[in-house]
Amino acid sequence: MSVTETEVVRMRGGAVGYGDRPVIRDIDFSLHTGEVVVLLGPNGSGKTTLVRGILGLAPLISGELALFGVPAASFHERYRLGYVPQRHTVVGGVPSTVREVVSSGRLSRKRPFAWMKAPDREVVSQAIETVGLAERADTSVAQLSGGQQRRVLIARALAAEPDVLVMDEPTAGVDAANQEILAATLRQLVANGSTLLLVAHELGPLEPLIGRVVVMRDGHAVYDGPPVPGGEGVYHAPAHHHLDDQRPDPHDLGLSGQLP
Amino acid sequence: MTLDLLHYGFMQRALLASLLVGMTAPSVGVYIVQRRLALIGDGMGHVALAGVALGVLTTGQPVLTALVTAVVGAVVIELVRARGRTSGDVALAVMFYGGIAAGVVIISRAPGGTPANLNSYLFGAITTTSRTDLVVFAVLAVLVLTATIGLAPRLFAVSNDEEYARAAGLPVLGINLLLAVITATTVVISMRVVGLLLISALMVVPVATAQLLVNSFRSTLVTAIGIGVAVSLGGTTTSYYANTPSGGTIVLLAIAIFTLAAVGTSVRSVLHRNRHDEAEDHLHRHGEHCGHLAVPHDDHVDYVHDGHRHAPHGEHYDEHYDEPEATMSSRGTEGHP
Repeated sequence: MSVTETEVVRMRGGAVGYGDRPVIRDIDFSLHTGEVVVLLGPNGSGKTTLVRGILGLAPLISGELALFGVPAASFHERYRLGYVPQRHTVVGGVPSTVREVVSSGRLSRKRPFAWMKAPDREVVSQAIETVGLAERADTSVAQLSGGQQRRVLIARALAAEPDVLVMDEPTAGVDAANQEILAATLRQLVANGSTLLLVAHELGPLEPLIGRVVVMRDGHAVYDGPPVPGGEGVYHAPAHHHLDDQRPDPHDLGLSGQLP
Repeated sequence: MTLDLLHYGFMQRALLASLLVGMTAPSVGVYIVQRRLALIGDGMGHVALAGVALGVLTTGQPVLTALVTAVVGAVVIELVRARGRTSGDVALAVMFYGGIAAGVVIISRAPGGTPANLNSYLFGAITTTSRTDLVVFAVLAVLVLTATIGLAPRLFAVSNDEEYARAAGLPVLGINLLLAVITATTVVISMRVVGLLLISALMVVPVATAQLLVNSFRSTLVTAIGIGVAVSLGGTTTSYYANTPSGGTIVLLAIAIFTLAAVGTSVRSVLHRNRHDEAEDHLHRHGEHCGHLAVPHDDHVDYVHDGHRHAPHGEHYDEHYDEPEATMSSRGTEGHP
């Protein structure tokens, strides 16, 4: 593994959007191995678009993007980025079991026409175990609650044994019991040294896990640093300097206020 | 009933063709239903009719022209769909009706092009499968089944969650084109016994029936193929004795079995209505000292948990309901993990 490989994501001056219209602009964003980073911000701030740009689901309109040190255009090891989309359901038109859906996450590691072998099945079972659904493995996903289906999506991402997990709003719209299970699952992943990139409205029960926060507003990153102890209101306050000022001039980032 | 129908060469060929359709149509249909595109096969049948007519007009061998037309049509349909424009819907409609209109007009100019001739392509006939047709159908069926079974995991993944498949680096457009092409191929395999207007039913109805009976994708696939084979052999046989168009007979039989399954499953769920609702993820084990109000309930104890009554049942807790309002409202234990 080369040195640059520890930089999982490196975006410089990135603009990402749909068609030719950028939703986010001038984004400098890095994610390193072992980091647990949350993208925070209100609806429409561009946090999901940033994630979609990193995953290749939305086009990079300008700027540079490298994944594991390789320019995104020539990066072919997509299975190294495990994606948990912001979906509340995994139910399709035909019934499928938890194990079947999770197994589909293993595919990016398999060649066409290759059957699942014992080690693959073991990884799938392990992923289901990790999200606490072992008892429900052969249940149809349609019979699961919304929160349980979110956990199925996480297990599906884990089944590819990714180097990084990218989760869009993992706890949104999930009841308290399931939030607790999700938080426990993430704690376990963090304890195992996983690299996580999460999108969230608020830190909530995940706060103790988070190493770094990037706050998005109107398509720009307005804060990039450690989480602020004592609540997250500070990120949303109208005017604040960087608490961990890694950038030369906060005014360039649309920040103009003074310290409280 | 004697098997006198097997003495006739045309019946042997019709039954073999039915077997091929019965296997392939549901194996493609399961992915189509998964993607909620149940009517796409119908459109491809419309497009294929233009190819059939061209074949009848030029060579008298409509199977290969139908195959080429349907496959080209399928690729165009999928590319239009992939662009995801709202105008795509209209573009598809134009293609579908263009196909059927061209088919009707062209076939009327062909030597011996009668309405009866057209009917057999639209709704199936048992006397029309030639030896050459059967060989072509067999080759096509092997190709279709190789894809639908050999590539089942990939087709499932893309049909289940296209965006995830794309993020995982799977060749989504390629897999979608493959599914479109094998759907078109299945339409062609069906053109003799089931007919171009009815094939979509044989893709969808056996799958719809199977999913009433089982709850995994794999068993839906297997059960749907079983139902498909049974109704196409049964329907073709019936059409021989009843002197009816084979396609219509097969589809009516499929719908009869679907109705039977639907009624059967709803009757079963009414009969088994002893409520058994499992409590949501339960991290907490109720016990004597857990702080939740314990309520004796017949032969066991329920625990009042966040306004619900939980009764231990094996590894999980069930929701129990038949409790006076007074206890239900004691919400003093909220916020337990």
